[in-house]
Amino acid sequence: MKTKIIKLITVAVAVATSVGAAGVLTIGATNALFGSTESSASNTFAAGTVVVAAGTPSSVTCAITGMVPGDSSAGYGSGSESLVSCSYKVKYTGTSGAWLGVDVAVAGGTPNLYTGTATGLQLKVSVNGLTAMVNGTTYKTAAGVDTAIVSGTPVANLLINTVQAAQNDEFSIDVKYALPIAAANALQGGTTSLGLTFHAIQSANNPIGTCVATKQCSTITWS
Amino acid sequence: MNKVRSSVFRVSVLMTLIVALNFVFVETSDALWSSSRNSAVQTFSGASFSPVVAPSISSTVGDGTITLTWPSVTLSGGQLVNYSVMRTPSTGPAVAVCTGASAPVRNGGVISCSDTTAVSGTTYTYTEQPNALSGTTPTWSLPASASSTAIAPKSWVFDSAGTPTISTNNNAQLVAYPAGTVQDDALVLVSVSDRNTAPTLPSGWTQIASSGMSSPSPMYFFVAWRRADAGTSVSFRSGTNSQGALSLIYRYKRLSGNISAPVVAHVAVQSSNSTSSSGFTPPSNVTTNLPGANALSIVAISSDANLSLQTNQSYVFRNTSSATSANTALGLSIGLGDKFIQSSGSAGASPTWAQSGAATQWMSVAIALA
Repeated sequence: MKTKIIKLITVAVAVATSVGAAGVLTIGATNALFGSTESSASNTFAAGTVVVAAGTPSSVTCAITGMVPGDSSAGYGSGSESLVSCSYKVKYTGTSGAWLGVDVAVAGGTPNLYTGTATGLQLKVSVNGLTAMVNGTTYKTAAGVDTAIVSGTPVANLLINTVQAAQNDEFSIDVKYALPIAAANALQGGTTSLGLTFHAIQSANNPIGTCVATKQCSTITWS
Repeated sequence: MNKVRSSVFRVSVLMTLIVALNFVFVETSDALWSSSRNSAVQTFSGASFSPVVAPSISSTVGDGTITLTWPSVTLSGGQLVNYSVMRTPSTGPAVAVCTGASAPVRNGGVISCSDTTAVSGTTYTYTEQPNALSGTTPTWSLPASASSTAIAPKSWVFDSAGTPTISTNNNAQLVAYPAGTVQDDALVLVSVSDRNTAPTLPSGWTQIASSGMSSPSPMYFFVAWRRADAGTSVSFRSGTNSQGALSLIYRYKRLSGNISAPVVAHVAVQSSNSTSSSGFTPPSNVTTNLPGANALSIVAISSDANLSLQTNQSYVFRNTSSATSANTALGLSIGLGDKFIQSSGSAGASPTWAQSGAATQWMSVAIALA
């Protein structure tokens, strides 16, 4: 799409330049008077970009196996805190200002380690150390209501920041997790996957409204 | 000139507006500029036990313990597996065993522990349940194993034989308790005489066997038992005359967990073989109505010889005593073997005894001590 826009702008400028040149020639031809011209400096129009790239340092992808109740990742705040936490590193490399959001998709096998309750897998997702936008099994709606995340139903557009991103801003989406001691025997051998989608949208002409960071934001037009 | 400049300027403004309008058209008629990036999928999986069915316990009765073993169970995460072991009596509630210092230990692929608190006279079954731990808190577990085969602990175990006493008359003589005897041990008094006359049953003792023969030569066999008192010997009249008698006491000690008050000798079977022989198999054996009993096979011969088990039938040889050292002319010997009987019922086949001397006559008794 960006390529298409740039082409349209290029064609428009070329047409305008041609028409302008023709106008000058016509004026000169009909008046046949001495004169001089002074051209303005070239007017250039460069399109902005909205691009997301891999961040640094490298992401740490969770591939946690053999969890037992009481296990948790470093920094979770309870449990063993002996397992590695995960992080998804991204960099905003676009030149236009942008709003940033995260989509969270939880899915499970049989049995599903994530039950959506306090006795299943707990997840904490936060960005750059901000307040967790996923806290255990819930996220906050735009109105600030804690809402359960349902396995198989992705949660979209959790706003990262109310300050529009600038080029080369880096973000670390951190994932911490825990399996409570009260996890039921039925969860033995269970599996769960977590997918994160980091996305950016131009902030120009796209008002943020009253959206609050770490909560779902539907005011912004995300696509 | 100014007109020309003005015209050029107007055209330029017009073109700028065209471009601007074109820009606006693009923004409003198409999607906003955006970009997204997906993370690798983060995965989490719970541990599982292998095998998925808890193995059953095998149990072995030892002296004072019941040793429990079963194949180990593993967790896919490599965590240490803890085992909860339960003991269920034939009647009554189950209790946890193999705890604390007696907790199960792993040796290769085998887990074992010892139950040292089983009570004599009671039959038990055992189950084990593997579980994961969070610190010291059990978390995930497998269903408990199927129950083990029923088993009962030993009540008593042979400890020692006292010093033999030689009598050459019917006067009261002291027959010493084995060294180390403590109160409530089970003591078995055995006396064999070259005279066919019954001894006098000492006070506090219970007679088990008292039998004699006259042919091919006089012989008398006497057995009694008691719970040990605080004494160190018993005053005993062997009934013999100058022909002499050999008397001694065997000590069976209580095992840990045996708190039952009585020592019961259930059934006595007396046998004799008046035909001289070098070997002897008691023709019948004892039956007990309690589990966890000791079956005792006691034999006496009218000869100074070493007695041994020729065919043991799972009996353990315990002692041979003769009068040789005290009176080489006396010609008397006593032998003891025993066997643990797990369940109530028959003690099975009698062992076959052998003796090192010349063919001689035999007398025997079989006792169940529970």
